[in-house]
Amino acid sequence: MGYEVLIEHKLEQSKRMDTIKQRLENALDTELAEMCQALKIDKTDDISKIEKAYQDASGHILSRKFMSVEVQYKQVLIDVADKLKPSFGWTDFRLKDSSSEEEVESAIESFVAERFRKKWTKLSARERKAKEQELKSELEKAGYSQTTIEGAIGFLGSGAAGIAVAAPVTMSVFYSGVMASISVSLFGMSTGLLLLSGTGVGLVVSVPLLVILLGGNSYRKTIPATLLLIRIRRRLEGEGLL
Amino acid sequence: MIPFEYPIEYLSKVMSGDYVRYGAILKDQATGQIVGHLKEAGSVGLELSKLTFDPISSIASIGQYPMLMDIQNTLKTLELITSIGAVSSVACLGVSVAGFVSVNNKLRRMENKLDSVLTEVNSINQLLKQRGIQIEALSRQKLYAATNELQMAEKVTSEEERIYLARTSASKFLEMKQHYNYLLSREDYDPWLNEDVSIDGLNDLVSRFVASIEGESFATYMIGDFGRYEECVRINQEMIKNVPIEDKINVYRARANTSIFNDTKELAEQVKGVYEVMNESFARIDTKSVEVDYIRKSNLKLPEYRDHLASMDSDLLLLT
Repeated sequence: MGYEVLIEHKLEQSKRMDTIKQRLENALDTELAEMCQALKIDKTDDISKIEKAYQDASGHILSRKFMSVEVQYKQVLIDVADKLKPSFGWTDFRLKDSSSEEEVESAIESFVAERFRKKWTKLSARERKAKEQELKSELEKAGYSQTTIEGAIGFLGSGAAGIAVAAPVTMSVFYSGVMASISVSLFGMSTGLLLLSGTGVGLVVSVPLLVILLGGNSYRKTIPATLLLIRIRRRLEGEGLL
Repeated sequence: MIPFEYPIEYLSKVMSGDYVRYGAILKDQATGQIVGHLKEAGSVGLELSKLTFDPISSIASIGQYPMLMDIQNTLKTLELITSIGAVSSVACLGVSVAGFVSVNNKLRRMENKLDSVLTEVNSINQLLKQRGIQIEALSRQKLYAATNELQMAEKVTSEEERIYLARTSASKFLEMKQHYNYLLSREDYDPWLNEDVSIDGLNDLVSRFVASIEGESFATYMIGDFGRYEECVRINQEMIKNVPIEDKINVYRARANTSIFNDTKELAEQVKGVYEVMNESFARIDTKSVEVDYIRKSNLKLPEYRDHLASMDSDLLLLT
């Protein structure tokens, strides 16, 4: 390898997981705990272990697609975005295009919101009411605050218009374990389980079916973990304004 | 009479950072020495109280208030119309020269968020019941009733009636001040970190606390007993120093992590705004004692001090 190529290669290597490392280094204890849950590793505040678990999960997916074990965060994001895209086909994002990691992350958030919107608008008024009650009951059991519960009901109850105006970042709770069972009943097994944070709630589907639907256990780790990383960035952006 | 100068003479030092404004005082940044106490003369305070709560809109609308146009540069340099804290705070620059109507103007433009928090958040209303505090005692209507009584006290011609109304409204404001202080005290409930209290609700709670302090101060001032007024200012100064304010980062995190339908950037701006208003309000209350010192040293009676300032041409003064 020539000198210039070597330098470029080293720079590319360092870029690969810098974003992950930076986010984890700035994560709160609760966020690290959620990452461990999502990645199905023992709770730890050792960032290198969490980073490795994420690399392993995302590398496992991508190694089969790209025949390479060297993974860039943007590659992972594109794959997650392709997986979550509500309509048929891949996204237009490419690793070497000019899109930033943040742009792909924003697309992922909007895809999650869009998936909910599509499912929600198809329900009858009675079905929506029943889902609202189910949501309220699940959130109360999980100990969420009154404000959060009312916000969730209001959000769902506002229907398509409400979901359309809500910022994608506001959907972050829907990947939490508490919401998993709701997600499954709302959206069917594949999408609901895509959004699991790995807490074990709602894991009633047989493993073979999961593998067929989701392309393997790795997505069930990578997708919620990626959504968590996006949430950390959003939090830090807000804190930067204070 | 109290000696004063015009702040415009000091603006170059404010712009260079040598002097800074803290609440109602100008002080030397390096030594902390107080340079003077800012006062509104004429109807400046009243006009300022009509500005919108958004600094950008305030500056845009200032053309509607000719007397503010004349001193616009002074107001801008001292950040009295350019900061959200200054335009939104219900606290005055010391004793209100324009009367309590300027506080009332701001109070009535605020959105009523706290009443719904008090009635709908079970944990808060249970707590209040346990303490024997009626929710109605903290309601916006109760605050308005007290402010109306105080404004009535300003208008009556009978000295006896004026003092009577001032005493009863001082008593009402004192009671409300204690209740709001309790809610902010984090003894049994933490409004700072509990996401059931929205940021708007927290802002409303702090603003009503400040309004109660201002109301009690002003009512006590109207009674005319300087010693009593001085003691009231001192007690309120101690009270706000002891409010256990949470770090704004934690206030933001408590709501960013658990409340699902907030845009995090919008949430951060809201938290920042609340803290700017609170810091400005508390600074103004904290610096009231400086004005009290000036009044005492000048051997002035309270009513003649205020009447003198009200009768002057509208301007911003610096008591030195």
